[in-house]
Amino acid sequence: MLSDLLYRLRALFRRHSMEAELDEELRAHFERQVEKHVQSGLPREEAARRARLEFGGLEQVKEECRDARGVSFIETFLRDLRYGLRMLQKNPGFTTVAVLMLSIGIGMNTGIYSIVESVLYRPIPAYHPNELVAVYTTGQNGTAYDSSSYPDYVYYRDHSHTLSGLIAYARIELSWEDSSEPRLLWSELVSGNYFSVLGVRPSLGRLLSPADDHPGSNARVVVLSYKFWKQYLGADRNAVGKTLSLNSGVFVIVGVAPEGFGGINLDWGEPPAFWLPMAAQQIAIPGAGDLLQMRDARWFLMVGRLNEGATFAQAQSELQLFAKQLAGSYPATNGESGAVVLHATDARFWPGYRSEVKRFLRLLAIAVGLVLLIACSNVATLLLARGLARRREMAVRVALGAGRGRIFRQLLVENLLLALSGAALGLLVAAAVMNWVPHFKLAFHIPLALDPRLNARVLGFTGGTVVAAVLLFGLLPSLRTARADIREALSEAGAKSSAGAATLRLQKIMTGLQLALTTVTVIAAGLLLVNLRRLENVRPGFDPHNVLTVGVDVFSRRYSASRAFRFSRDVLDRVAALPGVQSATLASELPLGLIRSTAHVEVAGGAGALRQAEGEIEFNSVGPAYFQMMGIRLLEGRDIEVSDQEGASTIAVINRTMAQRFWPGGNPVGQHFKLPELGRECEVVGVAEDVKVHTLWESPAPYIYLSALQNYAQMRLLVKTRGQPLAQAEPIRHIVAAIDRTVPLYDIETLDQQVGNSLSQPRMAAELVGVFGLFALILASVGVYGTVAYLVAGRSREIGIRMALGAQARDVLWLALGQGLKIIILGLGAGILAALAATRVFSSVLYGVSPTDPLTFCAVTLFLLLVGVIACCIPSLRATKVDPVVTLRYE
Amino acid sequence: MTGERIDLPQGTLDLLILRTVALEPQHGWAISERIQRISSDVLRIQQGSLYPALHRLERRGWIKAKWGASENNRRAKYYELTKSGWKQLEAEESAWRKLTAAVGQILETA
Repeated sequence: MLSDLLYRLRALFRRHSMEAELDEELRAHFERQVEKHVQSGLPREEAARRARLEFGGLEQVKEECRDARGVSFIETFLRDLRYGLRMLQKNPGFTTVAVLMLSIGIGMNTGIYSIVESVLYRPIPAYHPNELVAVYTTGQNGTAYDSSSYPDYVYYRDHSHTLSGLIAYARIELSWEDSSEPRLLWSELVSGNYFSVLGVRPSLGRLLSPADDHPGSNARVVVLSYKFWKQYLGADRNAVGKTLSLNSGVFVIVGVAPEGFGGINLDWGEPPAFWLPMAAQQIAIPGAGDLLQMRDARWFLMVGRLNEGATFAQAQSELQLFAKQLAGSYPATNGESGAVVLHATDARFWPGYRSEVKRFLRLLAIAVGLVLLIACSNVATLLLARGLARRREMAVRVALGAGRGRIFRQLLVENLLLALSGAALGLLVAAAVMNWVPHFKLAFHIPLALDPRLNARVLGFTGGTVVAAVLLFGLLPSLRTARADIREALSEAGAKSSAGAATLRLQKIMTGLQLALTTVTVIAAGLLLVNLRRLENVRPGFDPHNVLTVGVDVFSRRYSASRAFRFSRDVLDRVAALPGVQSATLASELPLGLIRSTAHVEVAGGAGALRQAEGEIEFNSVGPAYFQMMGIRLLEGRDIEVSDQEGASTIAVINRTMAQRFWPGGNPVGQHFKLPELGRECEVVGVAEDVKVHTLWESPAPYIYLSALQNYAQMRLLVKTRGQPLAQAEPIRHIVAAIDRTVPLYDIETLDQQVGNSLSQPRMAAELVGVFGLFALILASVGVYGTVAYLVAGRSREIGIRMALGAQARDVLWLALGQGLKIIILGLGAGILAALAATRVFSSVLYGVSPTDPLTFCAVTLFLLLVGVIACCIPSLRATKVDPVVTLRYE
Repeated sequence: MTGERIDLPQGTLDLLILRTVALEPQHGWAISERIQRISSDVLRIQQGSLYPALHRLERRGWIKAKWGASENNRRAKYYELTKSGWKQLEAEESAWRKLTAAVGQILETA
């Protein structure tokens, strides 16, 4: 064993000297043999000839010796590598085209996978993340997943044996007030064991401990994110012990989290800048009361670490048992509740939301996978043609003693080189795809904290793609080329032989396949474009032009309701007086925004009895003259007015659908309904036209507008301007600061932007798949062109004879076109059938169009037919220029 | 080139080489010459199989090679049997004898 290894190593590293020795040994043998023949009386020349004959192929003997030495694998690989590089250099045209195609295919796949990886597979930055599980409350109001209340959390944490630790946390926004103007930063309110259960170590100072979140603990402490520490505190090593003002509370910095630690959740905004202990809850979440005591306030997410030896299933059943115990003890709040456990990696998004993200990613993955397949089959076609051209080279090598296996291996190494070069170039393509990420974040209703990187897993994926690509495009052509028949190849007529015909057939099939795949991709792109176009033409029902929206965070100031109303009126009056401002109003929810506020509704029935409407109805709190400013038509009654304020009778405007649902045929103005959860009864003063509330593709649902001066809610300022809306941002900032310097502003943007953002998912799908489709189309056109050119070239002799016999240019054109058209029609047909099956997959992202929309199918088919015919025509036209004299003389 | 020549059965070449170099270190040409001579020209070994076999045996550690001066003062590569080569030779020899005895018995009695 050892001698074997030493021998191999010596052979590998002393390759040159061993080659020389082998050479010398064999030469000595040869000379002795010649001597022997000379001594037996032959003339020297005849003796040498005889010896050579006896010896057989010198190269072949050497090759077999190398094989016998057993080093040949690595050695021949290196040699193949050098040879392959030489071959690729010798054919720069072929190499460039093949590498470009592969770089597009591999690069796009790498780019999309880097996004998939960062969204779905990136582990939580914690110690042994596989042991972490997420726990949700279920059942109340029929929800599959809900957050949990703090008292429930404490019960689970203190009783569980399957979990070695359980943490609770809530993603919040904190107003940081130490800079010139307050800034809202994403943060987390966490239980004291948060960092110890996750197994995270500080990069400075200490992290939180259970002592920090003792209820009633007055120690106000905060842990900073590495990013915040670096960006805003200049990575100050003496930061520990200094204080920050957050939501008007003073907090002492105790430490800094490690670099790259951004918490568990990827949805709901940016990674946290601050971590506060639970003891600070009333400051962190003002106005919500003492959440740590309220069993019906489900604010917190839970993540636990499995105890050593405990299984996922054991944890699941234990927590379900606890949930049952809680339901028994607190039937009012927990009566219908259960518990559900997920792997924490699957819970980095809200579980119901994850499937939407996955669906979208799957669409992108399928599209880029198709592009890779098309690129591979295209390169395969090129290789087949090149294989025919290289048959002579192969035959010579076989004749010189190379085994077919060796040739096959060598061809595969050449292909591997192609794919690796493609991958290297593809990393640039991948970087371009990754630059799409800001777009990608917008594509979802919930902001995502995405950070795609070329990490080990992504590069591993690229490596796998390279191997898959080599198998896809290289295996078949290499096998065919290596099997080339020597005699046939060496004879003049080789190119027209049976092997040539078989290769041609394969080429045709490959080209047809490319067309079929392209048809699927382009039809998908077409459907998504039509979808986007239709959605863009949907009228939202309001006028978004020249409207600036400014989030005003009154909650973090812990204003009383009256104070908040007074503040709002002040702001409105002063903003409306600004030059360049037409009017100003308020809304708690922006149109085409994400947030839903819902309530149960009770309507007075015929005999004064109340009947409860099924399900909950959405409501918004809007300011005076909201409908006038937004251009929403009032069907009945009046707009909201300044006089609809605190103290006056509570009123509401409802939409057309709600009016039809509750007062069909009658006039709802003057009627009353109750919102039990809000503890109020409202008089309907107006009926407004239906508008799009969240998405442009929703169907109308009942909707209620309350007066923002009567209903205390988070508010956004809506300002109609005469000129560029964003120009008013600074004056508005000054006005708010003049009234209360510490109220933070957020999300300053135009309503046009908001409407545009609401289309970003369909737009992104259309753009990405459109780009993929475009590349597919280019690749397939090149493929059709190449194959037809090849077919025509192979038949130039036949064409020459036909023309010599009197065929017209038209007949020749048809002859050449016919070949290509057959491929095109078969490819398109197969593609349409495949598309009919495939587009179903993404019907969920098509809102404005059916997945089998006949118009799109027809248009795409005609378009592809046209492109295909053009790709055929160029080489076919060239065929008609064939000079019969020249072609026939060549033979 | 008198007498009839026969093809070597699979695997016997290794045995013949081991046997030949067991007497004294030999270079490749001498090995093939010696086998040819001792077998009265019945066995003739092609270089095409001799040298790969030598390299294979060397890799297995049964023979080792060193460069030395040959009878006519030229540099030549000599192969000699190693300790494990001796063991292998003994094992192959006894296997061969058993095989030929058995085959002979069948041919005579059957």
